[in-house]
Amino acid sequence: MAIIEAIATTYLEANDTAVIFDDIPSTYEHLQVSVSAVDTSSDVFESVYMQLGDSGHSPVDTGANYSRHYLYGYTSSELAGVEVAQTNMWIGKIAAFQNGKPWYGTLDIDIVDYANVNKFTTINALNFSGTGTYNRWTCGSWNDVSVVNAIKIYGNGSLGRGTTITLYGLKSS
Amino acid sequence: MTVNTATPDYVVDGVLTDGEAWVPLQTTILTSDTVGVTWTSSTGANDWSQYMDLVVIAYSQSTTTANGVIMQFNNDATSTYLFQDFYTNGSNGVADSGTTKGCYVLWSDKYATQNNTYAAGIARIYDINSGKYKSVMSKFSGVRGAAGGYGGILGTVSQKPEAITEIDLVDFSANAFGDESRYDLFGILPRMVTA
Repeated sequence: MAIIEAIATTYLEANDTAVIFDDIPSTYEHLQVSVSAVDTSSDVFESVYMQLGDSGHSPVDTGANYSRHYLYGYTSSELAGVEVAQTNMWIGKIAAFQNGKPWYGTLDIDIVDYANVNKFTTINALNFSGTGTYNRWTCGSWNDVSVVNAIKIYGNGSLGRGTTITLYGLKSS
Repeated sequence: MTVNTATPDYVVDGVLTDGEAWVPLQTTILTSDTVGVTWTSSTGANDWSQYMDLVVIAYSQSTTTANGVIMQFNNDATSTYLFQDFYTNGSNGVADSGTTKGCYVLWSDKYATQNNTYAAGIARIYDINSGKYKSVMSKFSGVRGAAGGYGGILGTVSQKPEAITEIDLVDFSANAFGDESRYDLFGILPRMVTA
């Protein structure tokens, strides 16, 4: 029996505002999301965000129900921060289209015990901008006890062509 | 070294079926101090062209100097890889960036200093068959007993768009890896579904 299953992969053949996984089955213990993405803006890199939702949202919760703590390195500076009552989880920065170079930022996101109806949903996200100038670790919370059945990932601009995002499900023994 | 060249059981009549997302590809366990480990794509499950990502899990020790394990792709040993580190040295958080000659997996100490302590690192190489520059993220623990140690997250990018068909694991200073160091390579499958 597979312990880690690929649930779905989205590959953007054209720029798009967001990638959304909806109707996620609740039959796994944990979820993981793997991201290789670029933003369409002309900056060096841009912020990327995540929102979650259950079947009562359309498809994700856009209210101020998220918290986020983070540590990051930016060239030779190291910084940390916390923000509460946010409308999303700021999970990192990804490369933006620039100079014609195919830099893509990456993220590994763990969404733990996502089907438990007695806990807020906690995530952690590891991020590298893909430009060699920024990396980050984010701890986030969706302050809602609902089952997660939708995930939205989006940037400050649009997500650029070639972006690939895969959702994985982890089972127990 | 073991190499998994079996016919993939997740491909039936040319169709990718549901199943394992992680496929074990190669394992190298050193039985003596050894300079470098090379992995190459071949056939069957070890044909890397079928994977979205690769993951390297390393449990390693240097023999000569406190150093790190880096990956060089397709025999590219030039100092054109870009890195951003963010780590603890036991006292402070430190951020650093610049150019280097490979993608970091971990930093480790030498045998004389840490005896049976090995550093652990997990590195993911993203979208290895795309035309993108190849980004790698690693998280590592390089505890060194009373000497403290290092741990953190390492981001590196290879500025080459070619698909990856060979990985050379090398010590940053070209020294040997210590006996009993272990390196595992996994292929990570996507799942293309129709909405």
